[in-house]
Amino acid sequence: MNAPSLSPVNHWIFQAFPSTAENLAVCRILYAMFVLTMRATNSYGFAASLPSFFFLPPPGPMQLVPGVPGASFFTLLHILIIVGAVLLLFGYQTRWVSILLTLLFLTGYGYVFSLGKINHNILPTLLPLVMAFSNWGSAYSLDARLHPSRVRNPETWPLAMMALMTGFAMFSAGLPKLLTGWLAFDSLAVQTHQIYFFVLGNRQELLAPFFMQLQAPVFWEMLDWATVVFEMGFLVAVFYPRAFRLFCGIAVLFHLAVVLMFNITFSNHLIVYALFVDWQRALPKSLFRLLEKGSAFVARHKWATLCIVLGLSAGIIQFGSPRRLFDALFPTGQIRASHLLLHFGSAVFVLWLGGRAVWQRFRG
Amino acid sequence: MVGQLLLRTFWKEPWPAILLPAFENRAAATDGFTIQQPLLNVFFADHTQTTLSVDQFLAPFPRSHRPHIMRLQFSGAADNQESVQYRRSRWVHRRLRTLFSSQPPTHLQVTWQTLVYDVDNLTQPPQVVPTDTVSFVF
Repeated sequence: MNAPSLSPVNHWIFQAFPSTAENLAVCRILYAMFVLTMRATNSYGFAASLPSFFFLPPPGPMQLVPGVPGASFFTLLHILIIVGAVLLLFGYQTRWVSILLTLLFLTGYGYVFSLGKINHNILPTLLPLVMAFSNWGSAYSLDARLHPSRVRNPETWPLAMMALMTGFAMFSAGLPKLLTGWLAFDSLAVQTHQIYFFVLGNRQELLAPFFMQLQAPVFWEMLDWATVVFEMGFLVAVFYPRAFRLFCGIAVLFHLAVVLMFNITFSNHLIVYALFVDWQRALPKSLFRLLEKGSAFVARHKWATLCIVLGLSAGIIQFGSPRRLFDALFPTGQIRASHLLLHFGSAVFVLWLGGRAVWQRFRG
Repeated sequence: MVGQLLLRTFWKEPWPAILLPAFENRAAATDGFTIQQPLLNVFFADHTQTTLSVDQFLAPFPRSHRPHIMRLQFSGAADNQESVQYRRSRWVHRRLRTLFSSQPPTHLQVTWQTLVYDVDNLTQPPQVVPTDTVSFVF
């Protein structure tokens, strides 16, 4: 008997972004490593020292909060995030830890973004909550080793959901540009933003001084158009998985260009695009064998694993992430070396993936 | 998601919301492309003064927050209720005493100026027009 065919909508939700337990596990490990390196600082605690007049919550749940709590609250939040990220790395109680991580991040950022400025890192913040339902702890994890009977098959609808959220978020950036005249030939929107960030934001490093002096209206107008088309096209690309992956690759290069020109880092978003990489094709097989052996080892040596989890958590809580050491060794001005490395490394990786795909197609 | 986008378009940006920064066209306003820039001057008891950068003054805040906090808290558009002004002035005083521990500051003057750019040639230096001054006397 033939299996019932899915409607186009259901097909997109459940089959457009196929993945495997191993691929999802790599995403989980990368996300945990990302948190432990790039987000392992208590970037909320400063809010505790501010008087209440700074607290101006935006529309949303933070308006129900009476004020900013004390420093110990943010210290506890920071400790829970680090421990949660370490548990996610090892894949212990993965679903609950993933959900908890998003809630902890939302709590911390809720206070920081109630001081008059919202930073737009919602996609990497919601990522673990959504991916919790993909069963990304089904491979290379303590969960899979300790309770093999409870392992569930990978679900790919969370990937479709992340794709939709990413596409819509990009669209939400493109639509106001379209509505406020970015495409008008008598105004150069990108150039005015370049000047704004240079003068008011004091973002004057890397290629910013060069572009500050660049009087090339055609170039600037082309950037206006390319930005709007790219950001709005992202939402359309969501429904064509190959095109969506291409847009994610372009986004990596786009963010690098933004760092170089505007000195604004969007390294948080790189981990979102990483969800859509076929890691089993991109990474060497030996790495997966290593992950297999590593997860078997940690499951066999429970006490040693507990010591590693506690030691790693305590080390990062006490001394900060290894990123701080890296940034101290390579001082690069206001933009940290780790952010630059992540942006450049991702761009090289994307170009390599793209070049390989083109080469394989060329060879037939 | 659409509701969040409409809320931002017609009122204020909510949070949490699946939105990315709008970066609206700054040159679309009828008066061309302008930037409101604050200049900070600190005055001391011995009648000397010094300039202070926004990055130094608002160092406890993330870099991305600083221009927004200057506009929200230290411009003419800030909440000017007496009790808020009093607490704001005390915070400024404490902040300056931390920055200038050897000299007691007597007041901070925030001068807002408008930089008016020629939209036909944005690389030209802007015309500078003082617009507003906010003072905190201790």
